[in-house]
Amino acid sequence: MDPILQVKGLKKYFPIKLSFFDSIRGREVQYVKAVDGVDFDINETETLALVGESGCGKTTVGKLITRLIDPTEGVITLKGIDVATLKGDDLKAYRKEVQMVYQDPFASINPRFRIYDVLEEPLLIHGIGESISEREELIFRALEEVKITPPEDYIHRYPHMLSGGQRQRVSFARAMILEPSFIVADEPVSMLDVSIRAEILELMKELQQKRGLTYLYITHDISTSRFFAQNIAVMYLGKIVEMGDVREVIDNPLHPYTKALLSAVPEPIPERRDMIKEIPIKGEVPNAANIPSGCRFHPRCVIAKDACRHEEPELVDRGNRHYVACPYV
Amino acid sequence: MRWEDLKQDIKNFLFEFRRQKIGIMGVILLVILLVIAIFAPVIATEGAKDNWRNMAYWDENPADAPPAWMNYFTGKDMSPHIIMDTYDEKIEDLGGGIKRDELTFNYDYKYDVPPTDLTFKAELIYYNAAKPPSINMVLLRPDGNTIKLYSKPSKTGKSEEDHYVAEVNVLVSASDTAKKEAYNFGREFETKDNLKKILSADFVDPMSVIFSKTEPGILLEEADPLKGNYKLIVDIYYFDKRDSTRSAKSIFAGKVYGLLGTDSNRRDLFKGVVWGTRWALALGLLTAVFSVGIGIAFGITSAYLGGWKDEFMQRINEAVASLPFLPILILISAVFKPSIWNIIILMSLLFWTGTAKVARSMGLQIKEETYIEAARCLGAGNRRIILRHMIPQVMPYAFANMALSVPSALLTEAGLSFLGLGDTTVITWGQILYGAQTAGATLRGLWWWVVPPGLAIAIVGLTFVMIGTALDTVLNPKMKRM
Amino acid sequence: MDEILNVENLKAYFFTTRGPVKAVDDVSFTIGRKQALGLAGESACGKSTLAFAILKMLQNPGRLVGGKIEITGTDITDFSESQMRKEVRWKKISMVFQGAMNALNPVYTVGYQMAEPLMYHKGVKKEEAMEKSKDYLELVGLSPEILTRYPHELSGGMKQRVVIAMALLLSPDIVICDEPTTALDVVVQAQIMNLLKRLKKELNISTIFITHDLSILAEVVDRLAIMYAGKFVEIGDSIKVYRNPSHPYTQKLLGAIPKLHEDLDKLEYIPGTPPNLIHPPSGCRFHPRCPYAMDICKKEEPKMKEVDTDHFAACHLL
Ligand SMILES: Nc1ncnc2c1ncn2[C@@H]1O[C@H](COP(=O)(O)OP(=O)(O)OP(=O)(O)O)[C@@H](O)[C@H]1O
Ligand SMILES: Nc1ncnc2c1ncn2[C@@H]1O[C@H](COP(=O)(O)OP(=O)(O)OP(=O)(O)O)[C@@H](O)[C@H]1O
Ligand code: SF4
Ligand SMILES: [Mg+2]
Ligand SMILES: [Mg+2]
Repeated sequence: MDPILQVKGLKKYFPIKLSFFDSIRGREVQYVKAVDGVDFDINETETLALVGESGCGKTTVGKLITRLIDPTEGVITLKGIDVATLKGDDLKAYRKEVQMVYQDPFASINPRFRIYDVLEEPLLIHGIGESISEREELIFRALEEVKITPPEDYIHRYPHMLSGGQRQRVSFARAMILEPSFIVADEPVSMLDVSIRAEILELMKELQQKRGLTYLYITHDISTSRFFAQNIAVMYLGKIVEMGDVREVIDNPLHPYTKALLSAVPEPIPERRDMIKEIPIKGEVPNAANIPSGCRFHPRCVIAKDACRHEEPELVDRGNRHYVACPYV
Repeated sequence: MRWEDLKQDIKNFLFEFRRQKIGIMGVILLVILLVIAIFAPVIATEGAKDNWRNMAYWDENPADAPPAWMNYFTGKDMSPHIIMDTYDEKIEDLGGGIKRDELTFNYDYKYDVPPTDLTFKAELIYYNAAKPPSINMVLLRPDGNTIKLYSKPSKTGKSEEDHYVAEVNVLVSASDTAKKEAYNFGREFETKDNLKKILSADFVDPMSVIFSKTEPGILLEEADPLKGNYKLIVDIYYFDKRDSTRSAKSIFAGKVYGLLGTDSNRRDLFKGVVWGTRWALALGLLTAVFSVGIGIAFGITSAYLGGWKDEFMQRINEAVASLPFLPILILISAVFKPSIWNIIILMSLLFWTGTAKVARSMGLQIKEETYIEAARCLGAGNRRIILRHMIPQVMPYAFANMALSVPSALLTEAGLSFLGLGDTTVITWGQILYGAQTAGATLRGLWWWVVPPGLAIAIVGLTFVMIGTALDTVLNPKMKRM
Repeated sequence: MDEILNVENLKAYFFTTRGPVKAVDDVSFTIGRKQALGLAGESACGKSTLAFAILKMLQNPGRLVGGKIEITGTDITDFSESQMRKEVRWKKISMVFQGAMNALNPVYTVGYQMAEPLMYHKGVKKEEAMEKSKDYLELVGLSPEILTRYPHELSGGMKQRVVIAMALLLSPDIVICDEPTTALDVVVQAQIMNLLKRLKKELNISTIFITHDLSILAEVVDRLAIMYAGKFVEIGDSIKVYRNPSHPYTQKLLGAIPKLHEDLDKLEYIPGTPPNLIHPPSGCRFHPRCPYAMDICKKEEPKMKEVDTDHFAACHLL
């Protein structure tokens, strides 16, 4: 199968705004290296889960792919098109191809828009549907597809009149109405109750099969990625430290960070209630403006060697397309 | 937006607004103000608007009279302003071409303080140029005494076709006869001591003597008032059969006048204040809508564009904000006539900067909302994002701010008028205050000239502040989560 | 067993303009010394309200409308606000509020914020209060230098530890932790849970954990209560509840948890949404979403039944 999306050497540095005094004193501009050299491919109709702690750059990767921000360096190609060079009408056409679904189902929908307006907006922007009745039909179909039924009961409601799960489904309908082929789902269920998370994930899976969608599934919840994705990439401070088949990585983690992350995942096993969990990691996440030299994980790593302070490890295939950025495992 | 939805929206809004007691009060006040503004010609006469600066129009009024309701507070009953144009007329032919026209005005005096003046006005028509009519005025008191007030031939009239019209305007306070007669009448009842205090007849107020009881102190304005039916009898002697009297009336000039008294130019302040409502509302609302509209559009655009464009627009904002309003206006009034429209336009062009600053900071926040990013991800352009997503979010602030900026527009206009830079062709409260200022009303204690227009400005201000605050709470951009 | 907290038929309603929100409706349970009770349920089912009701700190328009609360044998149901403040809160029972770490006052140092309640409640001197704060910071695994820092200089995990230390300062018998780990990263979350487990052992305190995440609860609690629409539907020893869930809601809730090391074809979920607590469904409040609902479920409210020793559930199926 061919990759639909290829990301190579992707970097995004955000300049830290200097104070007036610092800038006349000639202090150098510093950068938050939110994404610092990321490579991955995603095959058509597959899902890549991007996991990692808060602030490691997951959302930034998503925004780069959707061209909401421009990369500092690197190439993103979707279906053979170089995303960074798109302008004007081409960019607008690209927006139909790639859509994003956000974490907070309340914040991502304009609270003053009725559901009808929310779904009509993409149609108006892209000039889809000649007449009101045509657009209405498209809107009804999109709502039925995400199981907001009967649609006529909902189109006149405001977002606050829907439950969190329903709102998230409306966000999906809004993204789906443009019939994209690629969706960046940025923690789409993390704000929802456990009892309805599954419903949304099931819905996303169903749409994937029906429409041949490809997902980048951004999450910090590793257990849902096993269910939802084929591949997984673990990010730490702007870089991917481990990547591969989701089962392979979770059942047989190699990188010390992945190991720590997995050991910390809570599991519903009450028999362990009196045990203190071993979490093989030291300290706290460093500031993204001040990334440690060498292996960026070394200050927190429990197996760090001296060399780790100077040599930045490469992401290497350890067989079976299981990539790891640590030579000591 | 569908009509149904709009209806629902309005319903919801009204439901919420109705719980705002302050807002309701504001709306009630606004309705009252609007009624006053619309029905100004009914409440105050149409003529008042056009003749505000025509002093002759007001000459029947007393000058500097306090409002009539002052009576309730002073404890003394002061005579109100009464114009009588009904009278009994008796025409008697005395033979020899001589004719007597006797006009009797019945004045029911039941007050404690007499009128400030008594005026008789009429137009006498006569045909024989050599023989203008002759006028005698006496007052018949309830106690049967009579006092002669006036006795003179009329002045020569203006010639009209084949006859002449003599305009009579007798002021008792200015009539020597009346003074002398009153003095003579009063001295009979005075004590010796009191008489010593009076140097001459010129020091006696005939009005006070006329309406006092015949007892000591009558000349010194110390006697009790004599209440009852007075008859003002005016005898006009004509020397031609065709001669006649036209539009005669007597005016018992009030010690107090109307609802809000009069100014030094005898203008009825109530009428001025009522007519002032129109311009106050128009000026306040127009300026508010224009300046807030400009401010919102400017601020939001600046926030959304960001970067150097934002920086540049902010500098423009600051430049405008630092423009000195008064010198500019003085300059403009030197070049143009300072018309009210120029003032409105100028205020709109200068007053948007504060709104723009707030709108910008709101815009910066809204810009970071996820749904704005979502719209960009859907392919929405700048115009769409600004118009559909950002401006509607600040509309509540805009409405509230419009309401809140009405008072400042009003105050600015008042300030300008106060400096004599207002539009002198319209009646505004500021103009009335300016008049009071130049006449030294405050020094002379003519509070009714200063307080009502000032209070009116404050009330309009309060009205819009109340509506503004209520709007602010109801339309607060924080949508209520269920 | 030594009973620390005894709640009987507690009812707490919010009297809103649309009608009373029956956020806690007839809830009973007890907690023994050193026991940890987990309280789980979907958002808005009334978990936080129950916690506030026990502390008698309900926000307007909330009212306690019935029931009894006993803490270490003292009935506090009719205690006045000042009595609660002087004798009960923070001394006998304290709480780590939902989102408390973001509610730390940004303008005061951590030390000041910790010492102040000590000085107020115990009347101790400032130095002594600071000394004690230092001890508690060490207890929760923070270095004493944190005392002089401001909240914005701390990471989320550190702030949460500070908040926990503050709750422990007056050595209460029972601590309520309302969502102590939401919004924290998994690693930090696991560290905090480890800390709480350690404290439970070392300090001899009882705890109530509130969260909607059953996987986290499994790791700490001895007893588990499942709440739905203002009522407890199941309560018991945590191993029994996890391994042998008796109420359909508990079963569904546990089925919705994805497994880290197991492949699942389908995740379970509960269709529909939690009911409006102003007009909760008749009979069993879960019946509109329950796959086993029978006629009787619509009409009659199921009573708590003992399924096993220390394991109760309220369902007509039982
Ligand atoms: N517009 C921006 N300007 C400056 N810094 C930014 C910007 N956007 C993100 N960052 C920084 O880049 C880093 C990565 O942020 P990002 O949002 O991608 O993290 P994330 O992995 O999605 O985290 P989370 O799980 O909290 O969503 C963070 O340190 C963040 O502060
Ligand atoms: N101050 C209040 N006024 C009115 N209703 C309230 C108030 N506080 C809470 N409620 C209502 O009471 C119910 C229970 O709320 P509560 O905060 O206890 O839920 P929760 O289980 O803690 O939810 P979460 O998991 O989201 O924290 C909800 O329906 C909520 O809307
Ligand atoms: S009582 Fe009935 S509706 Fe309620 S959980 Fe049991 S079976 Fe379902
Ligand atoms: Mg993110
Ligand atoms: Mg809560």
